[in-house]
Amino acid sequence: MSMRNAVEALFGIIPVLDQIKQSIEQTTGAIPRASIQLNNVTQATEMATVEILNVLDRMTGRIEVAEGAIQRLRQGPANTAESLEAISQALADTRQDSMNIAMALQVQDITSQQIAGVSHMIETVRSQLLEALGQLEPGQRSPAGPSPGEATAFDGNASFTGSTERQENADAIIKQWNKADNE
Amino acid sequence: MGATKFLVVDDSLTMRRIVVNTLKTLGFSAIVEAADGKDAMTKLMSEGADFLITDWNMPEMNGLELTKWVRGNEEFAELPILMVTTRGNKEDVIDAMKMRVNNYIVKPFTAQGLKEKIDAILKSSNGKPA
Repeated sequence: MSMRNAVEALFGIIPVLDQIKQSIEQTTGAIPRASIQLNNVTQATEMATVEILNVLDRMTGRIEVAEGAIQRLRQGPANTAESLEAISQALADTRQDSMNIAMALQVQDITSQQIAGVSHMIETVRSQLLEALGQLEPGQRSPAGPSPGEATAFDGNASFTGSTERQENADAIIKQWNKADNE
Repeated sequence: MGATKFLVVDDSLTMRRIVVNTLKTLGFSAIVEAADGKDAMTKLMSEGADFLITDWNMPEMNGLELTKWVRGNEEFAELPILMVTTRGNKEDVIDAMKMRVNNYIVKPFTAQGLKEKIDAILKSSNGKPA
């Protein structure tokens, strides 16, 4: 190869290397975002788990109250009304608590959307890296393959929080909307 | 009130179970489920409903597209629609209102929150779209 050919080949490689550099920079930027998102999943599951454990603690306390009331009923007719009221209250509170546990399980839907977001991010990174590799070895590029997140619809910003702020904001917008609509 | 027939649309089985169980606790027993917008269209046409509770992010047809279809359909145009979604941005709420949902709940919601929204829609003027 002549010196001239070698220089031309080098000039041809430079844009390819530039594109590869850009791809690597873009994909590197996605990694911290994926890490933050996975951290959100951990936080959400922990928050929901603690919430459920707190409810279970309260339920255990109520079962003890009901058991005490049943014990008093077995001992004799004294304080029957009071004991029945205690049992009735414990049952009503337990029903409410079981609802609270069900509500905390919404974490499953929310974290599955967060994980789908991470999965999508990883798939994007994989595609970009394959693209970069394909530029180095045009004939050797592996097929992209099916994306695991293709059939999933998700909200990448889904979050599990005990705060009512987002609902209050939505309510305020709806209120304004309806007011404007009625005027 | 208990005779109201609900169509609950969500691609998450967990969420459908949570919403359906909450509705049953609130005294509603007529409930149909659908896994996405297309499934909901089929169920609406075959079984009908008095009240639609729908998620936003779903495969095949999302909740916003479903709402658009419902509002454009003469038979179901006045159907009360409650959007239940993780999307809580201002733009999302506005987009949903533009599609004329009746109300909007951001996940995670409480049983009381769901009850209040349903009551408000049912008590409003014939549940007409906003």
